[in-house]
Amino acid sequence: MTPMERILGLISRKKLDRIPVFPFVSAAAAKVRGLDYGEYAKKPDVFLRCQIEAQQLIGYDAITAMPDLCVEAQGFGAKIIYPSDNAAYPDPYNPVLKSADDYRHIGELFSWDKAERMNNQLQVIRTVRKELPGLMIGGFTIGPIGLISRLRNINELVRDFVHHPDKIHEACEIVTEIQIEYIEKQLEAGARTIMVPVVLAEREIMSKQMWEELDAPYQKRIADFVSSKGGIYAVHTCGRGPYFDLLIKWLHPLLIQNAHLPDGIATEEEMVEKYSKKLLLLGYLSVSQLAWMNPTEIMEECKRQIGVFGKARSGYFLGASCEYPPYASLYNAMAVVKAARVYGANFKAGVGANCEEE
Amino acid sequence: MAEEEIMKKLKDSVINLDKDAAKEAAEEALKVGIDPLDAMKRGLYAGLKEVCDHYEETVFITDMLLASDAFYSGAEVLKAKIDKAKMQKKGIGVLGVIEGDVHDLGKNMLKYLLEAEGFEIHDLGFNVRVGKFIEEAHRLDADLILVSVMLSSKFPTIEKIVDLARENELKAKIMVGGGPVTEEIAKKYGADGWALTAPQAVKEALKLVEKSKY
Repeated sequence: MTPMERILGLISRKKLDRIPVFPFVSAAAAKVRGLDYGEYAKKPDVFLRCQIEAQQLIGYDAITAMPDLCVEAQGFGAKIIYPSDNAAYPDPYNPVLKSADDYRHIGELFSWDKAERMNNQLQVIRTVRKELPGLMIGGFTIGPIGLISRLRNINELVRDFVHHPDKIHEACEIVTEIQIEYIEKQLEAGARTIMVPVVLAEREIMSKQMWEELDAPYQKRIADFVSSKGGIYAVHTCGRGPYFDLLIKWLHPLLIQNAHLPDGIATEEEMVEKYSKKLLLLGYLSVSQLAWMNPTEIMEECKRQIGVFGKARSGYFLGASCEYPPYASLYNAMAVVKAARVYGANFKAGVGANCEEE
Repeated sequence: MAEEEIMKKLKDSVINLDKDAAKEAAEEALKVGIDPLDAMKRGLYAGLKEVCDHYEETVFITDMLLASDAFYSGAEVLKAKIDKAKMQKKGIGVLGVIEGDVHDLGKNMLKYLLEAEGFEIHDLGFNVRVGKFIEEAHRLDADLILVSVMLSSKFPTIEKIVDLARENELKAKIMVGGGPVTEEIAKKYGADGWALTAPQAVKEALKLVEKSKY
């Protein structure tokens, strides 16, 4: 089966040759050409080749068009810093939005002509679609408040949540429209999936009520748009206690990738029991496991996880719960794919591995 | 207004995340002759402690930051009148976000809480090079080096700080924390302490300072 057939087959509950795998290799792909991250993140052709070569070397089923989390911020005038050994980030000494009064002008900061990194991401999607039609490539947007957090000092932003929610709403209105346009371009370019980090809907960040008031309405517009265009809408969360109940209620994601157990859930088994009827699960290999376990241990852990999550009713992708650690050996990503072949063969959503049904 | 009533106002101002009320209550406390150190401890700090105790149940990062702001708003008024000799320092800490990392929300929160607890904290900011932690800890004869890490790619740098601190025979205990850091990671790289949240980090800091005395 091709990666695309495998993923679409999982969603439509067909029997697969093996469980699909997504180790979320992003910056780590630079390793295949021995490059530093700065070079990799700045040059779209290099990014593209590394992504393709890493996928071909390791054999996982989906790649991402996202080099880091400040692709969109560049389009709004943020100066991006490209360290050689780490993911790019906006200049923290010179935030674009200096006061809460600047929120209302956020739309004036953006233009497609200067959004070089967003345009590069679109080009990457087009090329992958053309050269490797059997491979799933994921599009991405950081979401409205996620983007604003790249343009404003985070400490001040958190204060604004309480002191200036009206101004944040004003900015979110504008940003959401631009992000929807960006998503539309990604879908037209050939992305089948749009992944959005919804990291504020987490117990350690804010209350459920605050998330529903502040972030949910805009995230919903994005989610509804992706679904209306026939795209696969996926949510990424990486903090503790993600509010799965609210994410499902507001956004109806097809899939959630999470690094920690959802709010109110005590065990992996309980997570499968409570949520796998409503969505596909992706994970649950932690950054620590991928960084420090050896390939044999990784295979054992994958075997355990396939046992626990494999029976998830809507389906389960074996993979990383967050971005593959850039400093980790790629042997572990290879071990994940091998584990899928060895322990996840003849896989079917709701049944698990070694499915005998046709 | 009676002393206990003002103490309650100070405490409630922090619990209600109201920095204007905290400032007002602190001014009132001074006006009626309440010992400013007492007002800080039994009033403002009691409020902050209560907020911390409910972190992750009914209190979130947003609340913690605003409670700290309220605490500081009142503390600024009181500090000027506190007899420094009466203040008991719990320890000296050097705090910063690891080199290559600019996420400082958690670090700032910890700074507020440790200072409120009575620690003298030297904030080195974010993107702090390994050598800077060591130089400052050495210069200040610090009890603690507090390292905040939000990027998993920076975990190996924890070990560099630990090694350099040992090489320089610093007395400071090393504590790490931040979103993706687990106890297992802290142990693996040789840190003396770890905490999941800022309120837990204050408790851990107190334990480590206590341990280092023996």
